[in-house]
Amino acid sequence: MIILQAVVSGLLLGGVYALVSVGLTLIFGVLRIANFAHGEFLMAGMFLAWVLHEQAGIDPYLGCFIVGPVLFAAGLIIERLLIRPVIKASHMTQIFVTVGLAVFLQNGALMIWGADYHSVVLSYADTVWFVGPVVLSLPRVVAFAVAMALCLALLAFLRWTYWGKAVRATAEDREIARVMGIETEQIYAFTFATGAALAGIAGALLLPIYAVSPSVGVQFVLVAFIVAVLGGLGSALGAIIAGLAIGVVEVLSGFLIAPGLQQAVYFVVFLLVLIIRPAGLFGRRGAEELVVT
Amino acid sequence: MSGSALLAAVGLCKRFGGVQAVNDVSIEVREGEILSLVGPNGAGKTTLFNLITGFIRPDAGRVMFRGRDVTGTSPEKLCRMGLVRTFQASRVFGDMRVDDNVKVGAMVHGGSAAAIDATAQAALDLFGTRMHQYLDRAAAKLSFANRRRVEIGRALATRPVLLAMDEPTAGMNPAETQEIMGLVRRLRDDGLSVLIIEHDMTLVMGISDRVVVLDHGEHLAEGPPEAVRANPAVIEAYLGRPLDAPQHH
Amino acid sequence: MSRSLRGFAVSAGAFVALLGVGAAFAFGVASPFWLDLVFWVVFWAALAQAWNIVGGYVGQLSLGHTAFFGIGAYTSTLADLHWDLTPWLGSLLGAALAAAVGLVVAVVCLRLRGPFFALATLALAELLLITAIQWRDLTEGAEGLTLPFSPGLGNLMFETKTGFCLYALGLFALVSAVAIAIEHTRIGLLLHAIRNDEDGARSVGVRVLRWKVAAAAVSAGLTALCGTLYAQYLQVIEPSTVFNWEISVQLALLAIIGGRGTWTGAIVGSLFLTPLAIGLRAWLGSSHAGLHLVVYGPVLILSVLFIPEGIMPWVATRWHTARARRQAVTGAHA
Repeated sequence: MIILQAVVSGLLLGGVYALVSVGLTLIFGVLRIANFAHGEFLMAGMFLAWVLHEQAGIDPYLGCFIVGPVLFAAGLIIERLLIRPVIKASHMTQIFVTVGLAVFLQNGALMIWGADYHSVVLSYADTVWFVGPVVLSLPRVVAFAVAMALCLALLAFLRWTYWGKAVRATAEDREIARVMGIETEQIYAFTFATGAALAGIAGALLLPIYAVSPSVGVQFVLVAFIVAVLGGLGSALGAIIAGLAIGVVEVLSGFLIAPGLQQAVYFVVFLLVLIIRPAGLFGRRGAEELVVT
Repeated sequence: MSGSALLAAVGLCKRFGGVQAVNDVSIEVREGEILSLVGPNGAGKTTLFNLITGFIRPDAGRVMFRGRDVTGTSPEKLCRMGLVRTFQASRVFGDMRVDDNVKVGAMVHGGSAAAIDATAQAALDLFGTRMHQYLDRAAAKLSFANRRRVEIGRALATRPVLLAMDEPTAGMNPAETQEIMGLVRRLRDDGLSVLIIEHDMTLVMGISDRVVVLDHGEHLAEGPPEAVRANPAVIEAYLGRPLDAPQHH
Repeated sequence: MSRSLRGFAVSAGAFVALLGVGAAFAFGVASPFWLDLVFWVVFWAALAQAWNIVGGYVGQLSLGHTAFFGIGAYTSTLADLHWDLTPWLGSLLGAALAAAVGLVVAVVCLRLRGPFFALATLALAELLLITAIQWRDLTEGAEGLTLPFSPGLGNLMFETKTGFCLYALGLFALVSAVAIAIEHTRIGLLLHAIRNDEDGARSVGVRVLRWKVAAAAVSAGLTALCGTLYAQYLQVIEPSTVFNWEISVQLALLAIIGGRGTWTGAIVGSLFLTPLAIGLRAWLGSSHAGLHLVVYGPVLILSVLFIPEGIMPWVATRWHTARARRQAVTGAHA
């Protein structure tokens, strides 16, 4: 029964991982940029939600409605100023632009708020539900529900709306997309901003569960990338499923092997994926191997 | 003119997602011949090329080179065995000097610095004195045609027995095209075997010993240039069926 | 004299000259404060140079080089504390271990296109950080390890900072010698080719994966040697100081700003930025931890945006263009 609890807890956690990672994988798919600042967007959202709670008493879940748009706007600005100039540059340039951004954001937060961890105390945070043999904590269930709702909405958006199809088309082949009349620059901006917003919301959702500090970004960016790689870089559905899977694997290994082993698990999973199937679950097979035009 | 098969691809298949790019294609390049690979856009020529030259792994089929099974062998190894390829978009080493570009090719078989220098120089001399003024120039700064020449020179510096070229004259003017083709003919006369993907049909007719036509990933026709040109299936593949003929779908 | 021989002579001359200058500083400077600065400038130059082997010459981006740094620091320190092993051998042990780890990660990641090597090295660094904190039996956890102060050449520990400066110089000389050797032999051409166009290189017989992995392993090993230097100098190591993301960022930053793919880039980068970092940290005190890194972020961004190849190559290009223009004017071609 502990196993069942672990699996359920893992799924709940995985839902949030999925939310963080789906934006990252889309950014990679559309802009072909590995956004190392993605974790800092989550950190920013988390801090924003915390500030809103401490200063204005706004509940983090309601704070999502502010965090989302704020991070979206920030994402638009960052994309225009930092990302767009390097869209056609070498991979190393692109990565270092995002790394530079990450360093800046992380240490900016450090300067403003210090290195300490801050958490919020919510009246309902201790509420738990008993469903059969499983214990569910309210904040984790809410985080999961909101995260999955957003993920499914995103999938629907990609599948059925014009903009969603434009995003997919640009990811598939940006030249052809442009020829077909899609304003790829707008798509880049939109995708990046959406990714930032989703990461920020994930941060806000996590605030009732975890404490915030400037260093959470680095931890989450790693998980986000591992999930994205497992799911197949560029595949939103892949990121969602992989997120759930990684959540389960992480919690299960904490129970079965030893707690505090997350990093080891991530690393091993990452290497295994790269050895066995680098394209991930839903990536295009062979796209990562040395392919030529 | 026909020699034994230097390279033989048997039953190659490759699928990308939902598209069968190459479907059960077999071709062979004989010693001392120039074989052209042609076909309408999307026929699978480049994919077949990549399969043969080791850049992509086939789903099925085999590639034999110089009597050995080289299916799935890496391009590096194939080069050491004598098979070298050039790319449609000239893949020169952009911020390296022209002479260094060619030297990298000459290094594949090792040897002293002097020997490598000599091989590299000889490769560039195949273009006459044209490249002498560019020796210290960064390859990316050269004109399109000159970059092609650097790439071909670099490939020839590896002393191949089979030179595989992917659209070597795309983007070149007629004079440049003639010059390259003259070079290829001279190399063939000296014993080099050549496999070319080409679109320029005049060129293909003028230079090839044999022609293979692909269409929709499948082997459509093969033979001497004149025979292939007159082949109705080939004409249809390129130009389509006449409107008043019975359509099949 | 052939072009390559001339180039090598210039590099060798500059190398010896730089070492001379460094030694002069080490012996001439008396104040411990300035000696400390000299030490750190040389230290970071060596680290950046080590990263340069894989990040600059071959163009494979590692974002977790602190992993190898920490492996070096912990290996030599633990070997000293538990086995009484001299740091001379301990550092080699650390280097071998780091090279092995680097090799494995490289083999898995570098055969793939995409940011996998960067991610894997980042993940490795995080993993080792957590491991060092949690595996208390081995590492004493977050409290870290302390080396007793017992100066002596056999202990790679020195009474004066001058000694440590010379140690750092020696290490820097080693790493730079590797870089110069790469630059002036056919290895350099092969690596440059790989950096420019892997597929093109493969088509002409270059064993791309082999070279990339070799560069990664060598780079990892050299970085580990710097980790040992750090441990010997400060005599205290903790997980948070030697498995520190900022180290990964800083050493790459120095190499990139100074000029990837050139052996002088690391020196230039360190000369510019190390004093700046130390100055910022001293000026603002520990209350503003992280300010110098807040500055690093934009510095990194601006440098890759505007001088992507780094200072030294930028300078070299300008110098060559100016020289060509001068020759044209004086009619040297006629």
